[in-house]
Amino acid sequence: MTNAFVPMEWSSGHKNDAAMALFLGESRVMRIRLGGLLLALLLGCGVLQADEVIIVNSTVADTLPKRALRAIFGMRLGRWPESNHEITVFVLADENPLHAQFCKTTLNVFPHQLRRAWDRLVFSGTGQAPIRLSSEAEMLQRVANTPGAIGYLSKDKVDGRVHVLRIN
Amino acid sequence: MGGCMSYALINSKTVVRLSIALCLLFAVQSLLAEPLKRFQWHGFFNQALIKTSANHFFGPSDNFSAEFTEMGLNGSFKPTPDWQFSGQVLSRRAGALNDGSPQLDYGFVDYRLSSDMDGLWGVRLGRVKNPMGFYNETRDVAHTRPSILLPQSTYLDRSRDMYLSTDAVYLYGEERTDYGDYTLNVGVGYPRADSIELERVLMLNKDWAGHLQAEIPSYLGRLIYDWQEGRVRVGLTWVKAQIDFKTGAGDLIPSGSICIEPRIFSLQYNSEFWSLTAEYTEQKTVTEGLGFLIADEARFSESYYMQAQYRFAPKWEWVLRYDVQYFGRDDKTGKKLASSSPILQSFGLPAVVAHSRFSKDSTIGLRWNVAPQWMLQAEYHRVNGTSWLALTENPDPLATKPFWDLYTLAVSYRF
Repeated sequence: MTNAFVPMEWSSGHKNDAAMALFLGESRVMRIRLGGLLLALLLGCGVLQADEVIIVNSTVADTLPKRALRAIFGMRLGRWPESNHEITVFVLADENPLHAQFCKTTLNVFPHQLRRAWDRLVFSGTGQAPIRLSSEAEMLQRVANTPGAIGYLSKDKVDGRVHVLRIN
Repeated sequence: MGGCMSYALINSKTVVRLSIALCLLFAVQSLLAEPLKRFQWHGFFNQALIKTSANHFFGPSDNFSAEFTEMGLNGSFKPTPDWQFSGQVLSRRAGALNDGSPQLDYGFVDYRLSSDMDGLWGVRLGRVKNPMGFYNETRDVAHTRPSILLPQSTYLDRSRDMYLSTDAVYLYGEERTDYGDYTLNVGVGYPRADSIELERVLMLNKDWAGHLQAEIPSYLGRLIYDWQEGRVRVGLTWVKAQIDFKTGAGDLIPSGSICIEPRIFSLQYNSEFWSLTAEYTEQKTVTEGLGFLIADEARFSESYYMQAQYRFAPKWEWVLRYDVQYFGRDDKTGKKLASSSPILQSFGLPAVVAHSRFSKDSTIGLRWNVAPQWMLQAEYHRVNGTSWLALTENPDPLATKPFWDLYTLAVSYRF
């Protein structure tokens, strides 16, 4: 989503180059194009931050280093760092757009990488798969009601029943 | 009056019974509710159809063979984050190699000695799948393979049983840093060596009266470096396994031992649409005390493959691979060994043909993830050489063809 946004802006600016150059001259076009790109990047970053958030049960501390987050969604970390509480991981289906976006923008992995890692654990007996839920409504409810739970949600669907986790 | 009494009696009895039943139900529920949440089960099924232009691969494939079926069911129970009990039952039918009888594929207990944000240490005890290269641990699960058949140079199906699992104790550890994760597995245990195919492979292509068994423990170690949860993966596997031959009545070969020492170097790059994989294996085989037909010496074999997977549409993927195997690193054409064929034949042993000492396989395949649980695959192999053909399926080397094609289709399901 975010990624598609930047190139789109960029290419639409690009198409009109010739026509704009006639009216404005080269340097002006350059400035507009750069400005447009900058705006697109800023907006892009905004969208990147705003679209989905990591949510945790209210029993969980609200900051975590990134490597721990990856280990949690890779199903290789069983307990929360300080409280030592058991972690329960909830996800949406692989083909759910929010899942794909969460993987790419928050975890910096592709859904197929995560799927492969879970399959390796599940079919060699060395781990378990995360619990797959069917909707964001269910995600909110299960994270809110399961101590030590973690999941993700569109920002506008979050309410006071869960905490938003910050990554440091 | 009597009716009323009995009614009251029944009533009180019913109440007592009901309350006992309810208590039990609550007890069972509270006992099981937690455990059931911590129990998971998964399974898979795969059926392939194989056609070869010549030679037999998983059944009479020069006609058509459907003798490649895999079915598995596994369960895992994690009472606390530190303990896990896992087991999988597998039925595999693969031509003359496996008959489909259910086997305990793995069954072990896993205990985390320590675990925090930066890493973990743990032990596994029981039958554990061998962590070799990228694919061995889940090699029988179609969804986890890049193609219907794994690159045979590295994941030889005819020797699969020996490489599959070990009754072992494993120590494993993981170190997580901001610039990548390191995962280490080190194990000691006994491989499963008692297979007729393995006997043919290691002992001059004959089913002897004697048998193979692992008498002393084997060692296995693998280190994997993952950058960004597998964007780049680098792996190093080292195995040292000893298989002993116990001679039988009338055998030309006395009791002796075969020490197998493969080293696998693995490399993978994953992007959103591409996965590029290469693995290189060098195997040292040392034979000792097996008489005049199998000299006491160290031999080296070499194999590698390069593979590209491209996810060109959301549910579609193609795979392209070049896969090479040389049994004799210094006899790549096999001619040197083939020249000893008359001697072997004079002792009533099968001939050795040069093309049975190498294979070069060019593969192209297509995968369609029809639904999250269903998958269809098709692939074509053009092969020069027969080094990975099963000897039990192709007992007469002189009847094998050096240049052959393999076509295969497969449907797979998993949950």
